Amino acid sequence: MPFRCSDAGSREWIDRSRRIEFSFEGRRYSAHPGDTITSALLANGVVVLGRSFKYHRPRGAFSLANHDINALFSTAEDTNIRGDVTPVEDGMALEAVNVRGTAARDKDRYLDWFGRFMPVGFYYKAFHRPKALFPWFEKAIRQRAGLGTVDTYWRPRRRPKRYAHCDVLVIGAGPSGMTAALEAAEAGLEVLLVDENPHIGGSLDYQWPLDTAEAACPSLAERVAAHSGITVQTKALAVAYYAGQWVPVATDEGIIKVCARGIVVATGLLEQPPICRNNDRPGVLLASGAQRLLRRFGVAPCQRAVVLTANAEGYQAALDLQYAGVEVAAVAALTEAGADSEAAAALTEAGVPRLAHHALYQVHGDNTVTGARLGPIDGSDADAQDYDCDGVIVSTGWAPAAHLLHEAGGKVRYDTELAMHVPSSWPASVVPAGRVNGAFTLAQQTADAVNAARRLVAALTGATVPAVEDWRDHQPHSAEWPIVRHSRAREFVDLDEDLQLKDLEQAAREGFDNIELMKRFSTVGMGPSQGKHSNINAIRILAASNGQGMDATGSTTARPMYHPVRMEDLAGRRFRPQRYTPIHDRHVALSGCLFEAGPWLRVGHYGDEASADDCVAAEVNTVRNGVGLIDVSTLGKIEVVGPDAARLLEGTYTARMANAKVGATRYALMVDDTGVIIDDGVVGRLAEDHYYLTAGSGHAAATARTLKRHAVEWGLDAHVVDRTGQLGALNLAGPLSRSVLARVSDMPLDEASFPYLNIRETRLCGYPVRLLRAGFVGELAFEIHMPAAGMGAVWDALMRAGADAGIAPFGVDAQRILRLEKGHIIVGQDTDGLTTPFDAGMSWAVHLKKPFFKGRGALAHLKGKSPKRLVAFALPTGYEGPLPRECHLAIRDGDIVGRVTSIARSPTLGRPIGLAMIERGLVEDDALLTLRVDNGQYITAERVRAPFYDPDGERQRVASEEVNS
Amino acid sequence: MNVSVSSRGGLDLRQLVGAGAAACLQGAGYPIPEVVLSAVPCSGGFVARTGHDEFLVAADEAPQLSAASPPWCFQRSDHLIELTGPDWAQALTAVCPHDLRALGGDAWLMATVAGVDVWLRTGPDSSGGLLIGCDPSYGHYLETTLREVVSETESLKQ
Repeated sequence: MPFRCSDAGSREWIDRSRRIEFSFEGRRYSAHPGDTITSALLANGVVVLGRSFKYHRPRGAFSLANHDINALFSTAEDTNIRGDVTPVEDGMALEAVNVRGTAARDKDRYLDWFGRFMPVGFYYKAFHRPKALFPWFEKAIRQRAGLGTVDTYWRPRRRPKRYAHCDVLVIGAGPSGMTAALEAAEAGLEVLLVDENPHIGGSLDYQWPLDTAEAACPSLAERVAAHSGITVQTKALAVAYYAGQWVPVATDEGIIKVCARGIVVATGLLEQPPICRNNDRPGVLLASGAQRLLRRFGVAPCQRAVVLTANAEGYQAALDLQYAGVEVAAVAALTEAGADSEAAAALTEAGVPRLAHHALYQVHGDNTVTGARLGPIDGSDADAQDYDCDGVIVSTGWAPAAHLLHEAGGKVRYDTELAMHVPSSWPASVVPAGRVNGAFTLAQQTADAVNAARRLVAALTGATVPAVEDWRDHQPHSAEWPIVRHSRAREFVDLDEDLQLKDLEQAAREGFDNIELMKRFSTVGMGPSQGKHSNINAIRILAASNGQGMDATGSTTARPMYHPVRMEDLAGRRFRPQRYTPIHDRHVALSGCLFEAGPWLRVGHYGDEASADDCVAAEVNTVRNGVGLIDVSTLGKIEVVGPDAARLLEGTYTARMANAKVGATRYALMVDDTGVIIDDGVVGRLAEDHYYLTAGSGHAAATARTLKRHAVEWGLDAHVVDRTGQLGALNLAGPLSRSVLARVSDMPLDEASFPYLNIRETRLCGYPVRLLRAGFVGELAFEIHMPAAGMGAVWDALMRAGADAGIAPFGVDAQRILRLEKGHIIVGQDTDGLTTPFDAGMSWAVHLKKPFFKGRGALAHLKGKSPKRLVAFALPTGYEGPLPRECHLAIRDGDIVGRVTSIARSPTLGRPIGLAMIERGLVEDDALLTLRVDNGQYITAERVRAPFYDPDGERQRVASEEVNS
Repeated sequence: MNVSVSSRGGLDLRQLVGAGAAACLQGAGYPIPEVVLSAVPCSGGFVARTGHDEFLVAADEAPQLSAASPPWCFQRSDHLIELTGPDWAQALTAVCPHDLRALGGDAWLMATVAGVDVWLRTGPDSSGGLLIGCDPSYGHYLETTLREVVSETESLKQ
């Protein structure tokens, strides 16, 4: 490891006592535990770590701060692994991404020679003609542009998310974050401190001399770790802010959804690069990146460096390098800032050449840095001088990592004094602290963090919130224009997307002169690093192009997630709530074929899936000719009680409910304000102040919510209790149902005692039950509603009692055919989001004489103006051709005039029957209906009158079970 | 992770609604929680105030209420799941978005667990465990999910 410093630093993350082995592009290297992939490769002198997105230019390490998207790696299992932050593991076999061959000798490197033919937005303008060649171009571009290759045989993985709550979430465990955490914890608040690094400390562990850090923040990390009110979560990156103060924190174990009453954003700064020719060469490093490499991993970034600075931090970085044994060839200063710092003086004393008012004109080297050209800021190339070096260290400016603050509603402005953006406003419960707020020295950071924490604590505890104190620095830390144009271009602004200075200028010239438009046209800031090192320079370039200031130019919108998150983490655990009816086990035992009806598992039919049609037909015949039993526990079951219960239902449903006698039921149709059908069911009156009603299986909760809302809005003394899951229900149906039920019930069931459309309360098998005489399937039938606990006993008792009558269970498939034969609609299937009761032929269910009910105004207006109508149709007896499907279209003269809503082969009638919603004008005219079925075939159906079966309803009211005899 | 999941039986659950529900319960000797969405212990179970005039009574036996009482009383068949062991709160963080720090002793919370509406109840000593009640139709799903969560979390720890 030739670039590993011999002396171990006191704040290193690596364990020098142990070694591990790994390979990159087939060559074996050694590293220490704690090394990242990038630090390990740099320690071994491997500088070219990847290839760029578009031109396949050589690239290397840049920030060491989780933004180095040109140093991505793949293994056999994974791709796009960020080398700058991912620990290298023993035995790891790494490859570079987006290369053919090796990173150093990429076969696609020739693309860089043709860069002039690939200007910004070229893919919008090229490849249109000849059209036939487009697929070839597309394939070629996809092969050469991009990041890692996705394994299409990838096995979906999920990492469960979990939730956490705290009083104060502090994001960033640098000096400001740790100080704010201590301040909040000392106030008695429960603090969660998160940091993306494996160790807390932030800039303390790489950017400040040890004695300076210790003097300013004595034992800060130790005090944080020891405080019982602070929970520290390292390797935890807060990636977004959502309403309600929810912050997803990405960790190695998955996402933690943190909900905090207050948030301290101590996320620090993002260092911004200068722009000059070949500023992307491997060996060009941000100064903070070089310091991270040096202090955390003990790796020297180069042997001879040229440093470009515009602040005190750059001088400190140069001094750090010199102390580490790196020869500093020259320090060029873009501005006066930092020139009077202790570090600058120490460099002078050490004899390091310092070049005031100098800029970096160009970086030399084909594959890696071999030299740098420095010249006066206002001079020309002739005034410049070349310096041999293998590293160029740059510190020309900063941008606040204020993305979460933005997402929380905060704003930033450009501060001309600091020459960078700073937060200008923020919510009381989400406060910036430290460097993100423009506080640079450790004393400033500490004071700013204390003030931020005190303001937050006061806001959370209801105390008087102290004033915002100004602890920002008052000297610039950024160069206003760190850009040097070169006649041969290759001045890179966005390393993710391979965008150059000329690209952004051309975008502005082409009219994309708004920062949001420029972003979308040029894709600046849209790569994996999300513009963390390119957005500020892009704004500068656009501002210069437009002749505007930075604030007038604006900035792009920060949106969640502000940092890429693994798909498996976003997926999380899959929650798919399923509801079982109380006798689910019996259905399974009877070979019921289950299907999902919303969250419910229901039985389609009983028996083999292979002979489903025969099974369903047999079940239909059983109900028509004998007796069948179906589990209808999924029905909505709602109690409405109270003195105003009748008024509540009267106002909610279209039919009269208040005049229903105790013991009677009514068909209940619910519409919305526009008169569109939203639910139907049966309302039974159990007492003057007590109703029991059913609702559609998929609409029960919504119906209960609607009733509750109406009760509140209308100020009624009525209570609504949704008992859908608490109760089970069976429907015993068929001409023999009464005799079977009589065997298990003491209650008189004759027509006089218990007539059709009535409800009674009694007991079966010792359980309290409610019996409803309803007729959904068009036969004599008894719905039996009871506590879930009683369902098994009652089901078993009825099956035993009906054994000699040939009782059989039937499923939803048979039930749907039975109701279709009877011409009953299913809301949501035969109706849609525009269907009114008049469209569905249910004007009989609308009582416009009522002074008020929900939707009455709309229905009164629509009466007689219905644009469409539900009609019945049938195909010939014995028809064996293609059966229309639900939603197949009705066609007349080539135009769509309607659609099929229900269709089935009727075992009872021996022919296919169905319902269709068609245009009103055709209702009276046509005796035939033309339907377009699969493959564009047309078939003709006969219009018939509904119900198809028992039009007079005799069988539902039948007085004797002997109807068939 | 020290937590176990088990079904819980032996509690009779009733829901009382309507004006006079509080008086009715008091008349039958039950304690009444003063605050809506809170609970107080009673014979082997608890009385929870789920609304101004709404109560959930969980007890060893069905409450003996006066026939002349005004409120409506409905039997409940909630599926009851018990999480026991000191790490129950940690296990629940995988499936419950609510702030479980509010669950001290004798606490009551109406919440969502694994996408299902539930009520949560701790006894006098919250470290002892948690009782979860949910709609019986979701019982199988919820209990299975909780067992999976506990098992996965344990395997992660290993």
